[in-house]
Amino acid sequence: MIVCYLMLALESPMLQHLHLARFAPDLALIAVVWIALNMNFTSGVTTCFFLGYLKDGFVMGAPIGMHMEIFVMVFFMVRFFAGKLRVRGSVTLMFTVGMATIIACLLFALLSLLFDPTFTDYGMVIRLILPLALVTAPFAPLIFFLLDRVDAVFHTKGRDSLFAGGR
Amino acid sequence: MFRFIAQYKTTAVGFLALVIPLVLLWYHGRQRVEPTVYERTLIRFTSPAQNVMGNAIGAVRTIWTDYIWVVGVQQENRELRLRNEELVGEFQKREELERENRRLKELLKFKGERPDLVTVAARVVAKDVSPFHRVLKIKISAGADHGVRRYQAVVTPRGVVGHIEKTVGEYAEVKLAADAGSRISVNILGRDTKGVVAGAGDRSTYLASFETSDTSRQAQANDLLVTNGEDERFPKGLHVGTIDSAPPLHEGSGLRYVVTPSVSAVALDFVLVVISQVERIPSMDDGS
Repeated sequence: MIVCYLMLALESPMLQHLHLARFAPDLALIAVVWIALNMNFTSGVTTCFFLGYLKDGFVMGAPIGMHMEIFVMVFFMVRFFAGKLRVRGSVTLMFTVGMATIIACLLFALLSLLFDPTFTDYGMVIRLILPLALVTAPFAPLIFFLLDRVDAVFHTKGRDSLFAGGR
Repeated sequence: MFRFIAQYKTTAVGFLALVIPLVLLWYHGRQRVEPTVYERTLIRFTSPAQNVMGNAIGAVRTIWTDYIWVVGVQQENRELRLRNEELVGEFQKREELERENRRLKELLKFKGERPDLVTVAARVVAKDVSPFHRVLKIKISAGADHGVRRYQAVVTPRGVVGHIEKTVGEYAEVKLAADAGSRISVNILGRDTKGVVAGAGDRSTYLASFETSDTSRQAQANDLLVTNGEDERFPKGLHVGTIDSAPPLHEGSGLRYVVTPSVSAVALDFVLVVISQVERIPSMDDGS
């Protein structure tokens, strides 16, 4: 959670400085995929829940609950498919994250349609689905490596020390 | 009870994790005017981090743009300076060509105006520059091979430059009108006063003098001196210089005036060497 918090805090101002806000990799979503593949159900879903809450805070404009719902649903889907497919290696990982990004975008459009009357730019969401997936996917190995390292550090002290519990 | 909770914990957590966001979404999707307690909490929680990160990134960016990037800028600056020097050089070359073109046009015009003069055009290839930047001798790119001989007149459309002193192959040396050994027979334009323009040979002043024995009619300042052709070296009607405002000196039975030559040797690029002269047939308009 702390790593994700820092990532989210870094993401927004960095992208603003780089003028890349539209084609930004969704680092929190990669973290959600990592959580779905590495943590147990209860801890994972709770972490995704709060991660979504944080994301709602950092992403200005979206109503609270939007990313909470998206992240929890992505968590469920990845977990469901992870039971059937084995995610191994960078390419499969990137594919999984790319698919997760597409699902997240579609969920965003659906939830906006249902709950956010102020949002009207669905065409933009459709146009950005593929670019966002292509931008986010290459970051997956890096974020996974980072989260694995951090997890390894805290694992020796006790898995539940980071709020996110054991596998 | 605990067994029941433990049994359905996973399902309950999953259910709540799905439903709570939907409730929040429904609630916040409608009410966007006043921030709710959840929004205020989030803002308090996220803003400081974003602020710190924003400042950190700003600082990194400042270091990058003001220090590290400057290395690249310096390189670019060097390249631009070099390019600028090249362009200035090209511009000066172009200006020089334009000047050359203008002078050549003047020469052509002069040749058209004086069809009686058979001339050879030559470029000034060297100048004997004194420490005071005064030129008393020049070298031109026309010599014996081009029919140039000693004592032939060297002129420009503005007037007399001097005469040929030496010829060597394709080159010739010109003694300027301001040189000590130079003497040109002249008239004051519009008068009958005759005299000789003699070079002063003074490198510091670059002037000549007009010597006349006719003391009855004094020359005035700015009077124009033109060749009269009596020395059989310089064709008739070429400008030599103007009388200076300084008062004349009495020398023996005559007077001596200070003369400013018509042609400045410093800016000379092209000259014409008069290699022969055709007899001029006076036209009906020609009063002389």
